Amino acid sequence: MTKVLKENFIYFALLTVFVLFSILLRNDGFFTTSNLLNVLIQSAPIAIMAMFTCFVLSAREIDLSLGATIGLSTLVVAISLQAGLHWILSALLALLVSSLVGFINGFFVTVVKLPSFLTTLAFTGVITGVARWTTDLRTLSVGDRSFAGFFGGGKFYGIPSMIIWATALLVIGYVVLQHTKFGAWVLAVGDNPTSAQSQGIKVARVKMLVMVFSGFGAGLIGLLYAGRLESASYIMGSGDTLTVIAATVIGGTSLFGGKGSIPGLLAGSVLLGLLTNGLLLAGFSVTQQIIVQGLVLLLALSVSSKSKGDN
Amino acid sequence: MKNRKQIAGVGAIVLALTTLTGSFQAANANALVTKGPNGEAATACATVKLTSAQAKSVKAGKFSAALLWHTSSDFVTAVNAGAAASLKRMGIKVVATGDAQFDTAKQKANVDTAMAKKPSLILGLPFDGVAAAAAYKSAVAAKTKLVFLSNVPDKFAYGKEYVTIVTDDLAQMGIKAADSLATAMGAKGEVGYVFHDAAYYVTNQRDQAFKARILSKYPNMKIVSEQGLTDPAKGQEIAQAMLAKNPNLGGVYVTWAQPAEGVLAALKAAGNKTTKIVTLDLSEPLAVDMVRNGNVASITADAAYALGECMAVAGAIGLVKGKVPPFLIAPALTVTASNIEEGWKLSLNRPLPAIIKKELD
Repeated sequence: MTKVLKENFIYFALLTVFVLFSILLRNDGFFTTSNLLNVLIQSAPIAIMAMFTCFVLSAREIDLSLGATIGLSTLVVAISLQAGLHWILSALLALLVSSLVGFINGFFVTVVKLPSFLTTLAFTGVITGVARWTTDLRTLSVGDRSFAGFFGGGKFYGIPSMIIWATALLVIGYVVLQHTKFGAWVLAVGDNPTSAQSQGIKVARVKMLVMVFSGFGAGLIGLLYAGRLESASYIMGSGDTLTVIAATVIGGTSLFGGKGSIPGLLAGSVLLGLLTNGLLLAGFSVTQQIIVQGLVLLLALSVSSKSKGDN
Repeated sequence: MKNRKQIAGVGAIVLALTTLTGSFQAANANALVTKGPNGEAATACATVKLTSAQAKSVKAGKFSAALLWHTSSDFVTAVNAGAAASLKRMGIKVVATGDAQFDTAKQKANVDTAMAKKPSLILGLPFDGVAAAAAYKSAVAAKTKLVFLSNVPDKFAYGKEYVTIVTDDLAQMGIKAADSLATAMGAKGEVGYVFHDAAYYVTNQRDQAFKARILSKYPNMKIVSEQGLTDPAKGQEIAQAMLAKNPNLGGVYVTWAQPAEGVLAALKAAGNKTTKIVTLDLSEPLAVDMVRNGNVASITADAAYALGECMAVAGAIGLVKGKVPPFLIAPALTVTASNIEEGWKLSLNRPLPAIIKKELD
């Protein structure tokens, strides 16, 4: 396989799957504006979260608590709204609580010096437990129209707000990672922490910041889910952790730090969304859908990780 | 003055206790009858049939359907098979099948995706009423007929947003499990109660009916330990703790098959051959133990395949603007070693697995 193909595998894979589905499912409603818009809306939260995860992975850390934090954020906003708090304050409170989760994760990683894999895995239990206890396992309704319209459920000049959120955040993420000092520090810390330290980069501070960003990102996804699904539950987002990490890694971000790609993770997220959509429209049984998705993911991971020399 | 206050306080406590006891007994009585998610009275699935004129209209209508489930399991496979076979017989084409994997975002994504194929009918299980209300919005807007299994999206109205709800006779399942455990224990002894500790209409009704039946009909059976369960993989740990605290347990009710497999493992590990297990939903390892005359006394099952057929027929009637009652139920059956072959077929529409058949032979 040529180097160009290997390095850009995710884009070729996305294009191939898109063209294949457009031809094979032309009579099944795949190539319609509403369906393609659906794919983008469904992929948007994964892409946004993948952007935050890209920073975490690039700094050679991982956040396995993001799914639980998403659920917690939906609950904080729902409880606040039900208590009569203004929707903007409710959203800010949810972001604050989620960022605090990121801060606690960061504290254990940078001060107590625990591996982020274990810290965030352990903290997942704490977050989920608190979320379950707070709501007694109930799903809460999110009825505030302004909130739902602003976060995920509405449209702005005919464009679904979920897509506007994703575009804005991915552009910001791209600029920060590629064109700011902070982005360079993150990549340097992930590439070689000792060398980064010797260059005067405050490694612990960078790691703390990416963990806080991750918590903040999960909180934001929680708001987008709560807005789009008009509900909140401790279980919301719990299945997203691995999907987000997979989308980030097949998009060219290294699991071992030092390399991140925002356009790549966007392609990865849309590829996963397209697969789910196309296989369902193709009339595949659920079992067949799972097998095909697993095989495509395996292929994409094999090629994209080889292209970076990750072994 | 002080005495008056004391008398008033005692009176208030007695009144509160009386009220609480009264409401508890009322709740028990209610638990013994299957009600719809919004308290609807039940109608038997067997009474819902297409007339020949309706069957002709359905065939001529060239309708299509999407089958959108909450998860994948033996139960869902059987419901799906029953629905697909029945839809095919009526000339309705299945255009999409989905599994939300208990993820509310995926549930909405599946509905939105399926709508690209413009199905005339969706059969599905909206596993979270609040989230499902937003998930099924696009289908309601497109006037797609909806038939739900076991649950209903919040604020959806019968006859307006959906055709009907179909489910098991949930209370009967709990009652049958209680009767079966009573038979196995000679209607006396200590009972462990492992219930689903989550706000889920299906398991909650089944669990409550079991408990209500034991309390109301079997005075010599005493529930000595109640343990909530949220993670089905924790059955073994729960049973170990329960047995450590109550070594004389005569029987254990487990909310469904997967955690019951863990409970069975715990009993086996402890060398316990006397404590009986009753649970709900068929499972191969439990059935093997049952036919070997082990700890498992019975498994109460639902007619899953029939549930799928019932959903399909109700949906077809809805498509041709016929009248369907708001809440339909399919019967429950108690499966023991003596009727396992028929029970397996009736519930899952599959032949008995070879390993169980071998044990029987």
